[in-house]
Amino acid sequence: MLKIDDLATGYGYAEVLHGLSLELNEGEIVAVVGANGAGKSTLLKTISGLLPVRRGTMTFKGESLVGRRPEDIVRLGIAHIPEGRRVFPYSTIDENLSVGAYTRDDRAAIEADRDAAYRRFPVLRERRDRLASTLSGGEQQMLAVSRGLMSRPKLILMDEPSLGLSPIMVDRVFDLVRELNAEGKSILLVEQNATRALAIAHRAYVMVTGEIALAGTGPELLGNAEVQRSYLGG
Amino acid sequence: MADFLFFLQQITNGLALGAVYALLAIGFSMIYGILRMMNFAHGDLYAFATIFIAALLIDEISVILAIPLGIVVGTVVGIVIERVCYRPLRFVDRTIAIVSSLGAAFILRNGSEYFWGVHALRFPLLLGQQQVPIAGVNFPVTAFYVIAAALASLALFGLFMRRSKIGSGILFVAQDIPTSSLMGIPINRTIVLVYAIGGALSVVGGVLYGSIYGVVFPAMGFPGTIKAFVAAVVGGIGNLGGALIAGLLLGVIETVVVVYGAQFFGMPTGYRDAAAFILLVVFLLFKPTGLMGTRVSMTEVGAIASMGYSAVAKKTVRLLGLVAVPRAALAPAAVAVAVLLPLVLTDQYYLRIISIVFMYSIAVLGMNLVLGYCGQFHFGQAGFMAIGAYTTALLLLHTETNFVVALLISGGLALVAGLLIGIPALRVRSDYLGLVTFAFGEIVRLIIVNSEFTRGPMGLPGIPLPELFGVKIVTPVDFYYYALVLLVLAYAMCAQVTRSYIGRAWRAIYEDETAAEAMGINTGRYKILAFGLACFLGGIAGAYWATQLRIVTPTMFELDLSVMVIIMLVLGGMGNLPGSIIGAAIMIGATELLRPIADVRSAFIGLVMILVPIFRPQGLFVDLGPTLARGWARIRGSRPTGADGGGR
Ligand SMILES: Nc1ncnc2c1ncn2[C@@H]1O[C@H](COP(=O)(O)OP(=O)(O)O)[C@@H](O)[C@H]1O
Ligand SMILES: [Mg+2]
Repeated sequence: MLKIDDLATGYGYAEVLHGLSLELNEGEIVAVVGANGAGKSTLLKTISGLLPVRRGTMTFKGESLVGRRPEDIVRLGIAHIPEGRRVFPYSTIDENLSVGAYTRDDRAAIEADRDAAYRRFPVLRERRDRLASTLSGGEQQMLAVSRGLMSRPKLILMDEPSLGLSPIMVDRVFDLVRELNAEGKSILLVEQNATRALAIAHRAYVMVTGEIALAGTGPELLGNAEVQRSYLGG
Repeated sequence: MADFLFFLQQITNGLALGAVYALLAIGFSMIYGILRMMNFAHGDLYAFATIFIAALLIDEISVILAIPLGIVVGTVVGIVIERVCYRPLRFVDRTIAIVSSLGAAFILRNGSEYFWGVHALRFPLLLGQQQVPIAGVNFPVTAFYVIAAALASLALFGLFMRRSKIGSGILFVAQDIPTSSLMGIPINRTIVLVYAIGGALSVVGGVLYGSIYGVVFPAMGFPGTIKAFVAAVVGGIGNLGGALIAGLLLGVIETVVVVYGAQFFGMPTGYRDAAAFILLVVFLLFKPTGLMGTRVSMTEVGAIASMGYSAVAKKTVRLLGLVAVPRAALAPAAVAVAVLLPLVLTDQYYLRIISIVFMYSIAVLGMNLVLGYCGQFHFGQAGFMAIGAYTTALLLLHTETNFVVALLISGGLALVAGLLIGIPALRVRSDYLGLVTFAFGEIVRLIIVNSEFTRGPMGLPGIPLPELFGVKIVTPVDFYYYALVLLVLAYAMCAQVTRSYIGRAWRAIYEDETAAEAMGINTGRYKILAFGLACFLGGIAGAYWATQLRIVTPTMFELDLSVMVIIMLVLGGMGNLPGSIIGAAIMIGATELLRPIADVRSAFIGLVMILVPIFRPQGLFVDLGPTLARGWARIRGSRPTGADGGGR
């Protein structure tokens, strides 16, 4: 579904990804783990078109993503739920959900999807007219995920969804990832919480300073002694 | 009763004027709120398009056609400004974008003067001048029409923001550009839209202005920008409802202050703008978040959202200007050349001009400290130069003071004035220093024009020649050396300070004020220091100027002077001391060389102000090809989000 080959990108004069290759098949949860600063967020920003590709190829369902604008990539069916949630703090929950459907025009269906989001997270419905900044971190993450779903994506890019959440909320987030996957969404999950991510991923990549160091199935990598030592603090 | 009715009548008039300000302010506030960019071309756009309409009407083109055409012109100019002055610079540096918007303002102003003359054009009183007498006081019905028309346009705009897809995107883009992009909002198109709507609304304001006063003229542009700025700040940046109310309020305050000021205190109406500014400054001191203080303004939101890339962008793209920093060894050589120059160059005309370049260089060096090193906006250097010049002129004319003492008193007074306005302004927020200094420069000029002791517009002629230990400074060569000594001293001071821990603190503040504060730097104190030194040097430059010209007049210290000093700084390179001298030399040289084409000179300078930031010609002499390619890429390319792509 998503195929990345020899991808290079960066900021200004600094190159951050140096020839990275990665693949994701339809229906998979693929985890990308690695230390802080490895370039995981950069990878996601490049896929969603926020950063220009400098070298390499990137296709989604056979169509090249290189040089496309972010709005076109959203239309192709990729949603990016950014690191740190980034809900629109001075818009209401309702407005945050609506803007998630910016690329769509089918009013009735949008309304239905918003309702589905509220059914999934009743807390959000209770506060639908409040500003997003008034939500707790966990609630904001729910909102960010729901907002991402409003574009009806086939592939979801999630950047550190468990970051900064309480242990209970972390559990809920990983359950949610599974749940979405069961509903048919493919997921590219970036996490520093490698143990949890590897536990739910079908396949995973370990990223070190802009390159893929290791690849395998989730359980394989979890059992790998070197991965344990270097990335899982074991 | 009649008094009260008269008061009501003034309020009504004030509200009509305020409606115009509100229309201007909303566009300005949107642009500022979303991009944190002060669009200094806003008022000149409004003047240009309104004068265009007036010209069409004078040519007997129907109103039905002329007004829509004018609005189209305003919209298109807005779009061009976005495309050429802002988009290429969006991730560079805010100061640079200010220069390029000033460039656009120059071009528009010069353009309307070129096509339609510098004088006022008649504008038909489209809304009539019907008055209804109530208890002996005539109520202007027109004013109500004006207010209604303004409110109707704003309602239309509000509806558009709420109901249309592209309009609704504006509110999200204002909060967080990269995330908006992830939602599929086309960022570039949304931002263009903001400029287009801002332009169109301001033209509606212009038409209403013309219909109230019956005349429109090129010089109405810049005050328009200032009023828009003031109303936008008072209303809370990015808060459109606030801008509306603040605009109306500003109109009322202005009208009331002028009418009653004249009636009770014999205040000249020339103080109109000053009154509004003083009120503004007082207001800001007590309510820095703006009128609608309870709501967080979008600027803060925008700032939070953009923190991710702006910090990086600032570090990677520090604009170098025209010149790379020369080696330290060059300084003595440069001084030696300067000392020997009069032996070779005997033409008095050139020596005079070079002395003027030295004078400007001193003022620009001051700007360099505050803006180039410390990153604080200071738009009023003309005011401090005026204080210096008039102090010296008055001391030399009326007392026996030696000119050296006068020079120091002049610098000292400029410094004190700077501290008086800078301390409160900087305590509030850095952007406000820009506004306050701006206002201050104008207030100083207004005081000079309207006071007895300065002899108003006539100025002070016949300033005695300076004399030291019995030696008179008389010839252009004498003045050349006098200016050179001052410049060397000023330069040495700046070099010393910027090399010290103070300079390091300034740079830290420039890069990231919050981080600097976290590092334990007392940012307030260092900002004041930079600003104070800048004012001091401005005062010194002005004092020298007075002695060389032997006359001072208010026209020397118009806003153009402050703008000129900033342009010199940016041309030469911010944070680059030798560049300040080179920038001054280039601008003065260009002004002299362009004398033959005086009628388009300022448009030409405006063009330079726009192109230099885009093409960064520090490389013009080094690698012409790549530099042009990079500049061109900026015009053409600029990724829509730029998210985290800082530095490109
Ligand atoms: N906006 C940016 N500008 C410049 N460099 C950046 C920016 N964001 C991240 N980087 C750099 O890119 C590298 C990878 O960062 P990132 O992709 O955020 O890593 P991760 O998400 O794996 O923690 C880091 O070295 C970081 O300093
Ligand atoms: Mg990251």
